[in-house]
Amino acid sequence: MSELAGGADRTRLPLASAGDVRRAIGTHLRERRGRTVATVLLAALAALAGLVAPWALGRIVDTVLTGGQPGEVVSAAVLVGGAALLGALLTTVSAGMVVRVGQFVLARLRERTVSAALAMPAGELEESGRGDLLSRAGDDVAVVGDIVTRLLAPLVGAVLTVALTIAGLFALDPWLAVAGLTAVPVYVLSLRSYLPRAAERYAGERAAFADRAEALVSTLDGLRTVRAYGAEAAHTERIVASSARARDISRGVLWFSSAWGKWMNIAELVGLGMIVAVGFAVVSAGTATVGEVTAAALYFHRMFNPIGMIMFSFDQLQSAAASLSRIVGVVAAAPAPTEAPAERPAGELVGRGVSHSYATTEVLHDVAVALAAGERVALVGPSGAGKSTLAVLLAGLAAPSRGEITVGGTPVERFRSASPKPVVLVSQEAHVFAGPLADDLRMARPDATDAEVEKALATVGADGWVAALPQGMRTVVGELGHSLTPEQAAQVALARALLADPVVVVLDEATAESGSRSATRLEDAADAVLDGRTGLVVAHRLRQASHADRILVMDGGRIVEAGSHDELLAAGGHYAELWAAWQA
Amino acid sequence: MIGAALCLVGHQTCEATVPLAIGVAIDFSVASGEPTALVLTLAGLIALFGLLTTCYRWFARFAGGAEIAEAHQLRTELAHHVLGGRVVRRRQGELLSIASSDADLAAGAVVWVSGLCGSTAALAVSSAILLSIDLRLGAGLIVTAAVVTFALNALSPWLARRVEAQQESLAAASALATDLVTGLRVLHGLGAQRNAAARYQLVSREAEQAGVRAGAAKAVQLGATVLGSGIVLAVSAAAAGLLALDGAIGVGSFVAAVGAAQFIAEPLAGIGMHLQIGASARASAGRIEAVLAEKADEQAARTDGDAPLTLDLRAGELVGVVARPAVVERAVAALRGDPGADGAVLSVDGRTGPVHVEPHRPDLFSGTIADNLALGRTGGPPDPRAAVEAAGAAEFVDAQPHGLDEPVRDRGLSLSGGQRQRLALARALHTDPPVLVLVEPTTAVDSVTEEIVADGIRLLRHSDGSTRTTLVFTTSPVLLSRTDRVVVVGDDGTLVSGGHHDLLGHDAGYRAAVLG
Repeated sequence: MSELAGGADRTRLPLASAGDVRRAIGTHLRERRGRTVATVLLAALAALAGLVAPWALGRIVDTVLTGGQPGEVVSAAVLVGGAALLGALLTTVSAGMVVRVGQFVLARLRERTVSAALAMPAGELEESGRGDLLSRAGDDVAVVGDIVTRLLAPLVGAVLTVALTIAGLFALDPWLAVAGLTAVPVYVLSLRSYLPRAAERYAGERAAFADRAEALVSTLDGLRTVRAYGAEAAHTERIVASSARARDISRGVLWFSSAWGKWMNIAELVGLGMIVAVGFAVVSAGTATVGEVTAAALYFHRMFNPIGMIMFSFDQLQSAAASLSRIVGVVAAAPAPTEAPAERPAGELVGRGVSHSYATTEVLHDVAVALAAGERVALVGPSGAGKSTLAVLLAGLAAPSRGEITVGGTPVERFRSASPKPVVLVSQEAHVFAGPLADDLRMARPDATDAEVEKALATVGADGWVAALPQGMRTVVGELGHSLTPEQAAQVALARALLADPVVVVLDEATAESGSRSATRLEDAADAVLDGRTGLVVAHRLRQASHADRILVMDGGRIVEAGSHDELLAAGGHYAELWAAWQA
Repeated sequence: MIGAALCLVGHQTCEATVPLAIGVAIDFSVASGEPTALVLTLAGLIALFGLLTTCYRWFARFAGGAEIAEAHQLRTELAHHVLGGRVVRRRQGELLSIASSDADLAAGAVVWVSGLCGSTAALAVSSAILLSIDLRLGAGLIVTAAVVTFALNALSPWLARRVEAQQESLAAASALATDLVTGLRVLHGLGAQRNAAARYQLVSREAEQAGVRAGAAKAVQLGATVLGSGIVLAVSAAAAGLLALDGAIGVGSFVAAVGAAQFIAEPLAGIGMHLQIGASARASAGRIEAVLAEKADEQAARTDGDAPLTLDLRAGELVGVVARPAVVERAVAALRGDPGADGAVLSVDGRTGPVHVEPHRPDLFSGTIADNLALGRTGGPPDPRAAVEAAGAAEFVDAQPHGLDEPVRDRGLSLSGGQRQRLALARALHTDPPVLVLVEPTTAVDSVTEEIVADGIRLLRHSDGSTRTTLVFTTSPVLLSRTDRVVVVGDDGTLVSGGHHDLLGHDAGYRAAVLG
């Protein structure tokens, strides 16, 4: 809603620094400190077991060259088999534990993120900020989840294997180790030139894929409109063009990454060649045996796959890091939870000197409203008059820039995180939560019984169509489920409000989206929800306003008229004009 | 395809030769102590790695390039087919996934076919190396490696099931998060944030458990692989070591035999993997085929026996229609030309012809506001200003930083329902069709704006002498009051035609329908 649009500073949520991300992960790791330490130790032992085989093979080479006994060959081979058995056990246990710890941290991170996202002040968030929040709680969490799931265990194993194999090389012969390590500068230099250029290219590729998906989705979604306007050719053209652009970019990325791939092989060649050359020297000098050089060469060969795995993970680790900083940023941006007063307030809703600004624009100017307990007040006026803003403030979803709003004498914002909330806002947004219909309603009150849910649906006049659904109120609705008409969605919203059983109900154009016949039915449903409560109705149809105890007419951020329907008609002001136009 | 396959065969052959090369290097230079041998060995290694990396690079480029081009080709065909009106009943998400991931997968044929060739070549080379070192040793090691690989493969279906379960539970968690954040305002309005977070936590913990189960399966597979390759290694070390001790083979052959016995598991596993990829590529290709084979005329809309709504308008008339929603829905489907829909017949001065039906749901597209308004115009754009004003959108368009050139983000979802509705109406008016059908065009705008819209339609399309014809399905008294006449469709299908004010005065049913 443009009326609630904020300034540029509200359009994007903050990013967390690398330190914040580390701390957030660290916090959850510490909750499993013992298991984390044990996991790392076991994984290191598993990698260590992997070092036995090349060493034993080197022993066999020396046995052969020095003409040893068959028993020595057999015992070395048994050593290889034993190490494999032990290594297999350790690998199974440690890889399983790595996943356990990883999934534990991942689950806590995503739960904190979603719970922080849900605590973000909805009334203050601009639309693009909502999009940002949506992609963080959805896409970014999915990206990190995918990478943790696929990469974490193999990556931990690969890093430990490489580190311990290098240690093994040193134990074998320092010169051979140094020879092998000459590959490291090649890896590092090529990676340093690769990463920034790759990041840019992959980002370009992802953006092109997103464009392509967007072209497809918007066309499929608006297919009816595209057909109505005979714009099929132009839209096909757009999809094909975006796909062709993605193809060209992908091809560029492919050429680039395949050209870079040679550096991996060059590094391998340098390391292996140096081990052979240095091995030649140390064997000639008599400081090492042929068997040791063999073991060193096999050690090095063993590292090819884990190093390749680490190198090719860097891209994904970078995108995981980017997603993590966006995820943790949500947690940092969310307001700290506040303790809501436990007692249920009385029903007087009072606003004094209420002004409200978005960025530098003041949209409400010194508004005073007072609703007596049980009173029903309608708010009317043209778009942009500030009706929705006032509704959001009165419902306590945002704090006014100036002034004070109280319910039963307590500042209404103090109830912002109360559950159940004494002041409920039913907005024009008719979102239906995906899942069984009864679960949607229980969002308002998780412990509601089936009978209570049924009663709420009946009260808003939804019992008829709900009974006609394939599985009644257990029918899956929302996205991918049974889709509800706007009228049914509005009834569901009202039924939720009933279950929440608030003291004050604010209805913001809750009955706007429908034709006249169903508008009448919805007004009856709204009446049922307002019954016995204090009610503020932001009225779209004047008929609804005419039933109210009192009507407030807003214009330009001020209340310009107030009184009952008859009083306002008699006064012959703004309201009387609107009414006359509507009746004409 | 042949180029890609040849390159990969070359690459895999080189990879299979690396263990042999290490053995030769040890035996020929390190053990011999001949400097020339060392130089020759190093030169050999450089040549081997040069060939290996060049082959791989061109395999990646041939195969990847072909895959990318083919995927684009498939998407192009799908786009033409879907927009050509030949696909009717498919979920949007399904079509999106067919045009994205299925197209990519189906295009991968060149990759998996050359993958199969490459793995087979590597298998052949490794086997040849082993057999040439010693026939019985070679045969024994090949059999051992094959048995171990097939035993490991037996784990894959079990692993695949757990991974699939995990992906499903992750997707469920992700979908729930998106759904909850989309309904953020609703949750805050109710004060249900904590209930929602608790619900998410349940699903998240399920995903965690599924993740742990899948991870455990992967860990078992990883451990089994370590064990399997260890067994092959121990067997080959014992057998080749004893042969070497007897002097039957040299040290270099020992190293090569052990290395090749280790390596042989890779092409064996590769063949299994490429066969699997091939199977899923064929499944994707099948799904694409099914879409491309679809014909719209199989999907005739149901007729429920009611007589069609027959509307005869004079050119230049602005007519309102008041009817039950079900009747409106059938009539609109027929007017926009849905296959088989026969709920309405519209003629102007006795003749039927093309009609522009503006969908009730206001779909906007990326681009600027002006781009959206020009959707149906093929010629150069005359000023859309008049249409914007007539649709009551002038105030809001002017408030945008770039006015008409303001980009529409997120398909207009960042605009309010009323703003979207007014822009869609402005687009219909700007398209200026001879016969325009509107369906409840003002349900999301306030009463004041509704007045502007009602006057605007009248002024823009129905000033004196105009031959433009407009039909509005609505129950809004404001819109109806500006029409030339109103057609009321009774519950029994009878039509009553008259002026809005006359009908208000004489027809109680009309009064109830319009004023509630």
